[in-house]
Amino acid sequence: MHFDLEDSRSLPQIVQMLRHLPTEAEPPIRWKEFKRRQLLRRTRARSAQRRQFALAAAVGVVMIGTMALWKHLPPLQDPSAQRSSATTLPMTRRPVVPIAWDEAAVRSVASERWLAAQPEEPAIVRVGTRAAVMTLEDRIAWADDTLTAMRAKGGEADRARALQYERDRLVNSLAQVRFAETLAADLP
Amino acid sequence: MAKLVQIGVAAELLAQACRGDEHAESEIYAAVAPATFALIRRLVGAGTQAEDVFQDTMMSFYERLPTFRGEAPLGAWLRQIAISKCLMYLRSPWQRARVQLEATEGTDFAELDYRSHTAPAAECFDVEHALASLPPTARAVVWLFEVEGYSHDEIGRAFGRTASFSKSQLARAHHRLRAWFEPAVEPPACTSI
Repeated sequence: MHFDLEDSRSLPQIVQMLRHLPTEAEPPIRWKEFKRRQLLRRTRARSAQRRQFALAAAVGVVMIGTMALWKHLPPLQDPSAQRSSATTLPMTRRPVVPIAWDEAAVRSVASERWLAAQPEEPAIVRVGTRAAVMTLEDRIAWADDTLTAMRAKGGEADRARALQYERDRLVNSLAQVRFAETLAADLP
Repeated sequence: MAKLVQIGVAAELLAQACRGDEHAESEIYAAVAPATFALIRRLVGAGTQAEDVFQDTMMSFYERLPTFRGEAPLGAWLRQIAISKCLMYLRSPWQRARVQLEATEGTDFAELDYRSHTAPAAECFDVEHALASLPPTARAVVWLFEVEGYSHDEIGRAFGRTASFSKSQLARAHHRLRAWFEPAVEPPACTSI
């Protein structure tokens, strides 16, 4: 469909030509191919939806786990009371055994050494465990700051000792979470 | 050749398709697919994008078919779905980015200076090429207004803009179309004194 150059400048004529353009074109796919693609897209959409649900469920489980862990962390109190309550983190299924003050301190030193040997970030960063790690790190940092301030001020030996005990427990918990991350990263 | 808006199908065939009869669905496909694809190509442009939009449109069409109340021809109803899909595509951030990228790289045929063709080939005067030379939004506006009979208000609403947007796009498109059909004017040769 071509215009005569002499009369080609009139807009109504151009519009008229537009209206006379072919109104049908060969579809890019036949019915069978269309049905095949339709099925393929539906299957993909369903599996994507399932993946989203699974991801949401996993995030929910991790969050609940983190909250449970957080709730089970003992409040700041006297180490003798800690020993009597004999609570441990729910991360391990070992029988609950009260940890002696010195034993906790020794384990804390070992945990700190092990943590220092770990890379800053795990090979695979998981949102749930990352949140737990950051929370624990924040609490350890807070305990460090408070301990430094208490030592500078002097006195309050009992409180400092309780705080030190709490810090050691936090370091141990952090080591457990990081260890779990390391194991998970090695899984196929 | 029928326009999409005029295509209708027998009520019995439609009822069968609504019940999921594949044979009826394939007959409806054969009736509406060519006009639907032609419309999509006019709005989106040729290429794989048009094929994707066509697939989306037809999928939506069959999904929504049981809700068709028969108040208008089936083609008119399908046209609404097709135009809506095309405009969604044109408004998508991906499409905008693609147009910008092409404009930056200077590869888009639409962005070339059409006046600079010193010896345009005969097919360049083809109205199809003129239409294809327009930017996607302007092309959609000119087609919806001039051919599909949409008003400026309707076009503005469809693009999520005002009627003024439609008017300005149309004015620019008209200017470009007129310029396309005007032969490039050679500057007068200098006469040595």
